[in-house]
Amino acid sequence: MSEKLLQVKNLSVRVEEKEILHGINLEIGKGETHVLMGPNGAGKSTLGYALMGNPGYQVTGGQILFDGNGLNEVSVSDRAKAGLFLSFQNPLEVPGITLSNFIRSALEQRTGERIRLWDFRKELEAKMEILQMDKSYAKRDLNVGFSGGEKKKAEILQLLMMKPQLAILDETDSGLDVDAVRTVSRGVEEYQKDKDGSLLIITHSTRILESLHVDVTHVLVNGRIVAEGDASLVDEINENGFERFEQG
Amino acid sequence: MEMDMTINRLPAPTWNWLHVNEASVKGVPALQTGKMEDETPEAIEKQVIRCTVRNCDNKKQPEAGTLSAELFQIPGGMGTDMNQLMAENPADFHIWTIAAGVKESEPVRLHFTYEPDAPAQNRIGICAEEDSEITVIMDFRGTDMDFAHGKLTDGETNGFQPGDTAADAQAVYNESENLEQRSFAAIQTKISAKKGAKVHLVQIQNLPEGFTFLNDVGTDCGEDALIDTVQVVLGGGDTYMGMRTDLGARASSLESKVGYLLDKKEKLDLNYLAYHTGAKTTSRMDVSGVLRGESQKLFRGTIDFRNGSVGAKGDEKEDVLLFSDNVINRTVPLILCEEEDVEGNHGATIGKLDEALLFYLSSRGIAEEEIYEMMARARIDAICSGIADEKTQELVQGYLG
Repeated sequence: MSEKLLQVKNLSVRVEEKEILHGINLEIGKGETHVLMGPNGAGKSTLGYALMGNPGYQVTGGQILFDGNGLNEVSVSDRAKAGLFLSFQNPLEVPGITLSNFIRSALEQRTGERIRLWDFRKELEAKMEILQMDKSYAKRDLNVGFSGGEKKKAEILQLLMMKPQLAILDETDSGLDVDAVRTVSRGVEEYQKDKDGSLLIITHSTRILESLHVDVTHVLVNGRIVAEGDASLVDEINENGFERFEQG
Repeated sequence: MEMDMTINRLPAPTWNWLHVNEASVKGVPALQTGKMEDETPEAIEKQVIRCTVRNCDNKKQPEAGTLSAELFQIPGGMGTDMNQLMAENPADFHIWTIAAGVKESEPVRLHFTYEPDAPAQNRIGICAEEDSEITVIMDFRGTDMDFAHGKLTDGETNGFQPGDTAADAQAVYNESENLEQRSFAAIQTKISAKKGAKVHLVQIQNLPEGFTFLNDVGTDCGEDALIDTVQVVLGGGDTYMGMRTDLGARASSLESKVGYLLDKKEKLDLNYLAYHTGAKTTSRMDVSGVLRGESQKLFRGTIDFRNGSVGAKGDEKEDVLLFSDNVINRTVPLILCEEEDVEGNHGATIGKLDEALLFYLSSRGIAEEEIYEMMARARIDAICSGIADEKTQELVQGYLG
């Protein structure tokens, strides 16, 4: 068993007045790829937001440990600085801040040091090439007027540039055509290869998993993890859906 | 002799108790010609009409038929009291003219430096003859400029809580009406764009704290002509800005952008007027800014479709970000209409930073106060993105720190 990076112990989360997650337990080792699957409304995205520290998602019980340190009281930006990354299902548009400037500012905030523009541009362009992104996107306002596919690519571009220890991909493949899923998968592979990074892939389809090695699969139903297994569980869900888990 | 002024009048007054119908500035001191340095490309003609008390007497108008008379007669956005102020005080009238058919890519640069204890005024004229193109860039600064603009402080990140009554707002507003200090400057710019001409006006204001600044613009737009303006307010005390554009000729158009960052007790009072009398004329006003500390802003934006403006279109859009509970933001969008076949729109987005956006940006490791700073800069960057001149872009970035 690899060294533990993320430990979620008996985590319960409430959104407004409703408890969505009930006692989640989850462990992700360094370099591992985990998949979190479940039907719509199971609480998958809620877990992603809670791990990242969204103030709208209140932790009512349990503990989150990252690299051995408690995260419950840590701010969103400090979680990111610690090495946690969330790829958003619906990335927001930010008028007035270009994609390039945003990534550079974020990197400088994380390291506390100025980054040489030349080095930054070179790396950014290389990563954009992997994702088959037109270079002009770097100068465009973050996600403004981007298609659904380009927004997802922009998220993966941020992942590749920021090189976190653990990336949570929230429905990154939703709304993408076959070619775009393949491109995004290539980016995720690159992240794993480059950083030996850990992944928690939240999905209810399996297209993004085709080219990735999955270590552990978790099935979330009604806010509880009801089954765990290896990559073969993904194939089973692909074939039979979530019915048997929902009945249980 | 001191003067009390009523400026920035709303063309169709609303309820008096709203206190938005006009602005009053009391105790305006006597003014001298303000210090100005210029960089003028060769292709552009520069003319200076020296003013003395005798020839700039308010009883004596510029000689009929002259360019100065033509420009003098173009009304500004602040109203007649501003003309009176200009006439009461002797100031040289600087006029830049670009000949017909000449398109100059190099801008005229005008640097105004105002001293705290030397109340000053400047009068500027811009005349673009047929099918010409000219860019005029003005920057206003003080003699002891501090380039660093104030940053956010802790606890200033909550949005404005509705509940302040108009009377409350006016009470605060009135506190700074009397000019307790003599840091005062005024400028009036008159623009004439002839048939097919394009005039680009950029104004960057970063006056020191406590300055009262009156900035009046009047424009007359010929057939198929375009006047586009970008005005950025980054510092000062009480700033009053007025702009009136007469779109009397067919297919004439106005593009006006205003960006501001206000902090502490700074006050910004705007009166923008677009009069459409020509067919197929267009106007667009885009006002965007950030209020911090105890700052206040009042924007009056009027689009007036008059008889003859068939097929005209006018848009006004405002975007205000409120970073403090103690700011006062007031907006008066006004669309007047005498013609049937016209299209007028206004929209306003006013509020604090969206929580979802805050979470998204924080999730990349950017601290909350830095996000507010980034978003404030983004407002100004978006307004400045229309400025083609790199030096001016750098100047603004320098001011922002």
